[in-house]
Amino acid sequence: MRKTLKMASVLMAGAVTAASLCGCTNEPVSSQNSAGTQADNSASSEDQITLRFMWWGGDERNEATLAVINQYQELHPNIRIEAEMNSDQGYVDKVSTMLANGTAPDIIQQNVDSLPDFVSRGDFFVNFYDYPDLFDTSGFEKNFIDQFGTFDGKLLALPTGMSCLATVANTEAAESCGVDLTKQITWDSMLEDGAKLHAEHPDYYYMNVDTKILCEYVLRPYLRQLTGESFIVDSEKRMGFTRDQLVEVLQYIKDCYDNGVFEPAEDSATFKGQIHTNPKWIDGKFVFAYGPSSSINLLMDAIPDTECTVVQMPLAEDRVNDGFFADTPQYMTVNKNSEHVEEAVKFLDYFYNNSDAQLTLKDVRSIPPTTTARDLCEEEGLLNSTVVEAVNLAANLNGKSDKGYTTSAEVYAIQEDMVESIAYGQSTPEEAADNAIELITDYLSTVQ
Amino acid sequence: MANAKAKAKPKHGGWTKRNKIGFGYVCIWIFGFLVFQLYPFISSLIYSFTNYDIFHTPEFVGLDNYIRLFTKDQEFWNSMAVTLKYTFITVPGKVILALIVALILNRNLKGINFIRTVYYIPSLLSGSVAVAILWKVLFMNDGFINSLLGAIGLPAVKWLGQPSMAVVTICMLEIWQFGSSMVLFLSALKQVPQSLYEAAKIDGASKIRMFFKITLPMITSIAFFNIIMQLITALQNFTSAFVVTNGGPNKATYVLGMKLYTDAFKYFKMGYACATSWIMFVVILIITLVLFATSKKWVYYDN
Amino acid sequence: MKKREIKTVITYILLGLFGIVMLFPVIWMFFACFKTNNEIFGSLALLPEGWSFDAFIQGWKTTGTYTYAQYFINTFLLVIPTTLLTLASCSIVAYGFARFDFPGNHFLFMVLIATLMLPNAIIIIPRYSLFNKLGWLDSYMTFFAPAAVGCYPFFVFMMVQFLRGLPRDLDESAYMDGCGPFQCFIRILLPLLKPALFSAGLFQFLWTWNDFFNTNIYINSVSKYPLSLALRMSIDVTSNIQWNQVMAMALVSVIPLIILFFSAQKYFVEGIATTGMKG
Repeated sequence: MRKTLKMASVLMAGAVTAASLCGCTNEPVSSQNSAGTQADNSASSEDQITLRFMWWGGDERNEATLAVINQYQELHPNIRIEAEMNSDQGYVDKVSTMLANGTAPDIIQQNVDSLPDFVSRGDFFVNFYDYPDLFDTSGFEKNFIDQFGTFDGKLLALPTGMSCLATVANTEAAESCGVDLTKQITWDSMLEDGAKLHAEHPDYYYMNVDTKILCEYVLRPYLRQLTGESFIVDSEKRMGFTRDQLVEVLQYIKDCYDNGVFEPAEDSATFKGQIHTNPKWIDGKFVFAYGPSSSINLLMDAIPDTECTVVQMPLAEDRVNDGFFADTPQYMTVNKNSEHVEEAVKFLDYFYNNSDAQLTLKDVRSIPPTTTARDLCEEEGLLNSTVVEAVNLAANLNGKSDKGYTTSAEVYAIQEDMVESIAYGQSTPEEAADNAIELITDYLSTVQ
Repeated sequence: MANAKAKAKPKHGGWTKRNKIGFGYVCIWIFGFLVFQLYPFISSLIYSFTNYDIFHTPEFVGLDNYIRLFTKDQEFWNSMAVTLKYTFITVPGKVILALIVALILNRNLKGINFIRTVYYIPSLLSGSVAVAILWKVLFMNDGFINSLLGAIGLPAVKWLGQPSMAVVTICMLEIWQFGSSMVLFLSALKQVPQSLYEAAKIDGASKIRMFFKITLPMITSIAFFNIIMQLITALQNFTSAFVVTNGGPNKATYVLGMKLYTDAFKYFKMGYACATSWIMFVVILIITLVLFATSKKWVYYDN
Repeated sequence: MKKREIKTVITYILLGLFGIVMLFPVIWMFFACFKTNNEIFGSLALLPEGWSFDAFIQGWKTTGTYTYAQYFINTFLLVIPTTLLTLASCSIVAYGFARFDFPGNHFLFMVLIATLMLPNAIIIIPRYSLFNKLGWLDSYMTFFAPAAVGCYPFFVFMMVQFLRGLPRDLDESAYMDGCGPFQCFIRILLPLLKPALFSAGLFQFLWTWNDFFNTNIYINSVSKYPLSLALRMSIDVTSNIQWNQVMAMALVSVIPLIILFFSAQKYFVEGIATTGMKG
């Protein structure tokens, strides 16, 4: 009997240990983790500090950013900056996982779409106004950072540039297909001209897109021009459109696919997220491509021998609002749970305000965000004139940023699925709209 | 009386000092089992009734997650259908191909070991990202496979772009890696007593008849084991769907494993994802039990 | 006799052809390392136009902070301790199961067999939150800890089967000679267990090396990335993917496995045949 008790107590002890391991609170445990990292560092040298800096980008941006890191490391030998480069594919998922489990890097480039969601979810980021001695905000125009990066009076994120959505035109393809690049594109003209173009030149397509791009460049702007409101009105937690309006835009997308304005989804699917690698674009078989101004160079570099230009985004004639707007391409944030917040802030001060850094970074994140960098780069002729032109075109548009619930991961996925089911002809616009409205209603009922 | 005493005598050796030490060794596993298997298993069930999201304290929400999965979430039904389709193509495909190749290789030829080794190499790389990337490149619209089809006068197939073909492409990747099933069959074939074949030969039985009457019954237990293990693996597939097609196009390869991953680690609907995982578990359980129940009819046990 | 010879030749040819078809993707991958993107896509030619090792050099260097040397080191730092811990824990647990008839042995062994069928997918989320609370995320502890406590029922099962096949007289005589149970295990049984240890070790090495699902969830810092994550990143990170570099690194990442396999194929095949493991 006593033996059985003894055995039982052994088992109980195991179970208790297991339970005690599990029954703790639900707070993220960042501190323990970074403590581990610190221990590693202190082993090599007492003052050695390692900062992790994570971003996504193409080769040019990676090189420039690495160069700035090297400059900074040379100036501050006790600081080592580990670059964690990614692509924008799956980037948001990764950041959100890392923020949740406390393994996020010290400095994180943030996606404009998802940042509001993160800010609303927890206290993850450093307020740069708390470090006036370390970070100089005077290079930014006040109303620019008020609009982009300030949440409840706290400057939690620094805009990395001035950017916009752009329509890049391949001038050679336009010429050989007889497309007039000076004409303002409307949604109707895009469908009409695109259909005609594909009928006359079956090899060619009007617009290089993927299903994700369609959400940002067609679905939402089309609706905003129709309604003047965001896809989701955050303050009231409601949809900014009616079912009929949604059906209309989906029907429009369907017509574009059916008439060869866009390349069939079956063909473009493998290039999702990387439309500049589509061989048809490389062969000059697309007249236009959509892309953010911050990565126009990707589209242009893919066809180095061809001249590219930008044209104004599609604007409906009877629009309530332009639907498009100037924006920041990304943000930089400092992780509040970082062991070296001050060092991270200091590095970003160099990143934004040092003239060497400014000259190195040029326009790899679109037009520089600070007046000092803009003046300096313009003086040196370092800005890509196409990028400047794209941003200038957008500066005149009166659309308002729709970042928020509209661009949260879940709502974005709903938009994408809806467009995809249309692109593949799996649902009618009515079915897709009904389904999406149901899902969005459901989502809105769960957000606090 | 004596009978009862014999019955009461335990089969084990009691808690001798020696046995306590032995139990101590097993305790290593018991601890691991409790902490890393049983506890997660049970808490997964508990989480499935909550709105657990890692940020906040979980709240009990009753059957909400399950009700939503079954009544509202069309994605779930799509994922379920895709997963079952994937499973019912790959498992039979893999097992049958493995059996056929094992039959061919089950002979004494010079260098047969080398050939067996070669056939095993794809399995060596199973689940690796390297192979998934390779598959993606081979099956792109202008990839090698389509060039090959073009060369023999067949039209190109949109392997990764067309929803119905994307599943097939992923399945082919899995079936290609039939090597370990093959090795299992080979070892089972070796254990079939030669005397049975000799007796059948004397009776004048044809080769086909011998296969169905002797070989097949003798290897059913290995086939059974093979099928069960492949089923469990296939129903949980993630890597190939994630790397080759990323669940697309139009969710055609959005298997349950991907849905689980997305819900849990992208949207942090962990409670909801736990509910999905439990449904996956129940499906695995049902299929396994059905196989076990029917196994008496077709599985031949030696002893 | 002649007819039989012809038959053998035909069999060889068929087996050879099928073998080439089976291995073709891997062969193609090798040649793709020397091709440009234009040769990789839209071309039927198997052989490249030139034999430049540039793709290997550039791919190895990567465009990022870390070279593949780091990813290889990481992979070894992850895989080798995991494998050794698995072998140590599983063999001692198997010894406990196979050689001691303490009360409940049979029941516990049934539980162990039942866990063979426990899907990883169902326990991954609570495990993740457990590791989160322990502060183990983004470290290899997420792999070491389960390995250290015998959480790989496959291997325990396999070694129990093997130990049961060894005559009990061996260790009992050592026991009589005054060896303790642990000494007896180390001195007598462990050397005999070698084939099983090899098989289990090889499989654990292979699985951990190839693992993507778990590493993708648990490991976050690029500086700790093993090869699987580095490869996945390589198709994401650059804007204009140089596929020859990607193929080169994919090939390099599996070469250790292929070498290991050829040098230890006896154990591989034995391992599968005796325990029926998935591959």
